[in-house]
Amino acid sequence: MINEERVKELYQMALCDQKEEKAIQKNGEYYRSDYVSKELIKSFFTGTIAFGLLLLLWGLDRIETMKENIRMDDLLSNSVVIVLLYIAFMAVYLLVTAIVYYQRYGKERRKRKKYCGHLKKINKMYEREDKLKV
Amino acid sequence: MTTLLEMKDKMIKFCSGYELYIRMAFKFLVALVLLLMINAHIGYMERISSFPIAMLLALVCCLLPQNGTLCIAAAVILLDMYALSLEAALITFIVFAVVYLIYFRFAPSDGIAAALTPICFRLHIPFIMPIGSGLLRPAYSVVSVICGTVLYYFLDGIEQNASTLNSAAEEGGAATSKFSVSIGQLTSNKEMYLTAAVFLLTALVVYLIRRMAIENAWTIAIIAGILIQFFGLIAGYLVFSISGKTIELLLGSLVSLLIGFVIEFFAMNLDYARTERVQFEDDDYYYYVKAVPKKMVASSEKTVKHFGNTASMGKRIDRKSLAEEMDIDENLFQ
Repeated sequence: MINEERVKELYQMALCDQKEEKAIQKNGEYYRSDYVSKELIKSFFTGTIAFGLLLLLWGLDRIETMKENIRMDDLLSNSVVIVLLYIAFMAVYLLVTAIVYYQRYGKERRKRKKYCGHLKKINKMYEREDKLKV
Repeated sequence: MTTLLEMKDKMIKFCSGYELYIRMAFKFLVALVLLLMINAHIGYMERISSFPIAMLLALVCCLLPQNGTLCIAAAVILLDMYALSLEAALITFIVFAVVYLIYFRFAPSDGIAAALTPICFRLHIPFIMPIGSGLLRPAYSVVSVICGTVLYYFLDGIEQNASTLNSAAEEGGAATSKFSVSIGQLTSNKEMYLTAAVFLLTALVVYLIRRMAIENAWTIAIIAGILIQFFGLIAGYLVFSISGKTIELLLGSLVSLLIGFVIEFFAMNLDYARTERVQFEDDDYYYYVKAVPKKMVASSEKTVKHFGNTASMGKRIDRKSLAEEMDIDENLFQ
């Protein structure tokens, strides 16, 4: 006979599986610090690429003037400015990454707890049924 | 009002019953409109800028996740830009990549707002986007609206300068000038900066007001958002000497106001007349609770009207009594 309570719990679990499967799985694989560190490493590369592309955009816009008036002193001073801008850009980018993924981990953890709650209830129901059979 | 609430209930029931199909239909519609607009304005590659191709791609989009539409639209734009000039395609690719790396890496679910913003710009109702974002999404979602705004102005600038880019290509013009023309659409477009700044301010104000514990917070937020945009953009147009936009702004604001109220009706329709205030305490806190009920209609009860003799209703009628009642032979039923 169908156990109505169990069907309800299974439905809730299937709902979590369908909507949040990836988040729940990922969350279970890492501690918070590892999770945030992994995203920081990813962000280091994506941030560097983004800054490089912005720099390329700036360079392409000024390519004509740079070709005509290129001087060693300007090149050095520009390099220093670019490095400082890169550091500032990356600091903001990595800070945003850390905040976003720190909070996201907390949210996913709550979802995972909810999922585990349903799982425990179902396990108990099965155990109870097995005992009754015996 | 009751009729409207009943309609709302029916629509919500209908949508929840056919959620899968409605979601697919919505994705198809957004993708089709987006692709047709791309074809109409910057469809420089004739082979992919036809209606059947747009239909086919929209059908593919409705089977893909939401961000699949963005990827396909980006690919179509890049091909169109490539047909116009290689330099324009390169700049467009860089812009897309930067937008993806800086924002959509953190909030991939906001992609739809970036797709809807250029569509709303073409329909002359972009003012609804920051209001909708402020009402329905977290505060940071306004960035996706700004990304959509930047992409719209960039591609619009490319469209307006297409003849320059194309003639430069035909005459073998210098690649550097084509780069300057393309990048100039981003760096020297004052209207773009003005619109983006006003949108940012609007979305933040709408978000802050709608979260306040005041009566009719959503209505006040919508009206405040429209007024900020209207006066902010008018002031900006005067400062930057941009003309011929006032009527479009006025009509667009009015339509956006109406759409804002429709959003409010569906998302947050409260009955402030029945507000309840309660106070209670536990060991640690004293609670002042204000509960505002949602406007609801009681589901209509179905009544079945019976005609004729109802004495035998609910009773099992056997063959003999039925034959007696009808004054016929009992064996006729065999």
